Amino acid sequence: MGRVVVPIGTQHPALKEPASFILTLEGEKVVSAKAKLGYNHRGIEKACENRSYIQSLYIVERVCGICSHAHSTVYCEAVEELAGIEIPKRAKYLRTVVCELERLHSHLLWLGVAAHEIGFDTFFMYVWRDREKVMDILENFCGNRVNYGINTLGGVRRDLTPEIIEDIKNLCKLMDERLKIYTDLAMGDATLAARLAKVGRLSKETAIQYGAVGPVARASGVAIDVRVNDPFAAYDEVKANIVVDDNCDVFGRVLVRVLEMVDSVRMLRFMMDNIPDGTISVKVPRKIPAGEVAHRVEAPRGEDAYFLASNGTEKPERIRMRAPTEANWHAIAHMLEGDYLADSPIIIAAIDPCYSCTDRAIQINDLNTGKQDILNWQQLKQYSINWHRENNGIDFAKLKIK
Amino acid sequence: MEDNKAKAPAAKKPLTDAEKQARIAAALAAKAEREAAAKAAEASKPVPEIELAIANKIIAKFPFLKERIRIPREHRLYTDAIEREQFRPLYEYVADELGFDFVSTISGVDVGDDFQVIYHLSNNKNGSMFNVKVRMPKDDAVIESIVDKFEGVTFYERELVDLFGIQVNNMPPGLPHYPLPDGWPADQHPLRKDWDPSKMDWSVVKAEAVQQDDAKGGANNG
Repeated sequence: MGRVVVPIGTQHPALKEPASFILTLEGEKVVSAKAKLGYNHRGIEKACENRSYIQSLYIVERVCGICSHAHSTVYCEAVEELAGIEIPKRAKYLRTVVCELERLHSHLLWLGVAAHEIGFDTFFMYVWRDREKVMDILENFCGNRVNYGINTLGGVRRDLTPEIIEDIKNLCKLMDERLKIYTDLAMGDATLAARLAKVGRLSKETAIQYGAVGPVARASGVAIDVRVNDPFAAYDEVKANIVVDDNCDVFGRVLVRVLEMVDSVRMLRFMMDNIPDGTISVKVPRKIPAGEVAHRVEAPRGEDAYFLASNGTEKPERIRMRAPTEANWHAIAHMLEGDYLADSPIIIAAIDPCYSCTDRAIQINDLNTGKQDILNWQQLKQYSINWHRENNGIDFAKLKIK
Repeated sequence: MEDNKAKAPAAKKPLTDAEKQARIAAALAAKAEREAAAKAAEASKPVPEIELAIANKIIAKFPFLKERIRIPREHRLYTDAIEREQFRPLYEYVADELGFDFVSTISGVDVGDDFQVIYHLSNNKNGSMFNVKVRMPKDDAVIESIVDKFEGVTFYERELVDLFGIQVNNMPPGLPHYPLPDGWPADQHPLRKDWDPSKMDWSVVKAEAVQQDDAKGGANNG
């Protein structure tokens, strides 16, 4: 049978993780997949070397739009460790509160995107409506919806007011109710299971071998979570549970993220009742003593690892950043192999890259006839939805959410 | 308002030399005190037991690391710079025997005459991270890939190649540039400290359509 090569992706100037996949098809099955990255390398590591520690914080926060708090937390904690500074306990708790709010909004965002990719737009609307509640609280608390700007060297910049605590408690109540519906749907709905089960398989051994992190690894039965293994911020007191699933496919990745949200709500509620009093920041000197620190935190997408070297001046000698998606790209090529082209949108979306990054042109190049088709992401998605409707009878238009 | 006006000129009055000296002496004394306190705190901090046990096991097997492993806090071990030949056996031992089988990332650092490559090896069971620093001279910047042992490192090693110009032997063949664009000059390595963007010929990296080499490969197969 002739092979068809499908290049997916090219550069998208506006977004953070533009990537390209070159899929080789045999019929409708993907036989090999190669990932190509680096289209939007912004030279952030170099830029930080020319700026002071506090200036670099604002650059670091902009590495990622969705898990910006994870990046600024790991950076601040690394600098504080180098400076030998212990931040107040209340500040640690406040960082943890934003970490969990961020995880909630990021997982809700992903759940909506995943629903959208498989053509389940009703679910997408429900989930994103709930996500707005989380975003409102983040905005009220931090002053911003995405780049929160709450972290600073030596602590945090804003304190919780009684009103916001009340808001977060109400959010927990709402989330209990909503997440129950989502959990029932994710676990019990036959249509969703038919569309997601056994798609994008990644065995436990392969996940370890390729260094997958975060929900992708946990959905393959690998119990890693920096919050538990190597606690940062206030996670030594606010205990997280590792949510592990043995399905090893996209269905498992949905379950893991939904159950992690349930756990986040539990932790938020715990923190609202147990947050210690005190100041929220201490002063950090401008010059940081020479030294080296390797640090990591658990971003919504997995382990976010930083290495920071200081030369004793006001500017860092070297900042090395490894965002979770960079670790997960290795596994994605493996996940695509052996699956249908029609499943590639949800498989790529399932590692939770920035969704909009995947919104780009696709060129289908039929090498046997020399014919070329150019599809955009919308058309590929529509192809995927129609393919599943015709071949498997999956149609989310018929599905009702109670 | 009047009070403020009256005070303003007084504040601008220049300090006498004696006052300056006194302030400098006070600042120096405060600094020395802070440093002494920090040192005392460092010395009195208990060394975490799990990490100490790990370090002792490593030193028993690799005596050259004696007194060259630092444990600044729980969950972290750092080595001083070691030679390239010493790394592979050390990595295999800690990965196979001590559970440091996850490579969190690999960092390169430009330190004047040398490059340092730091392997951040994680044990995800007890949360320890073992940071092994390997040094090499800049004019002989060659290391061996560890992709045969842990497949998730290809992107990190390719960053060393592109951004520092470190040669990595035995990488999987046929990989494109990462993270720099195709057509980037082979002698330009942005994370080297002496790299000067103003001396680079930017016309060679202007955007153009990328050739799909793989498409040709597919044609041959078909």
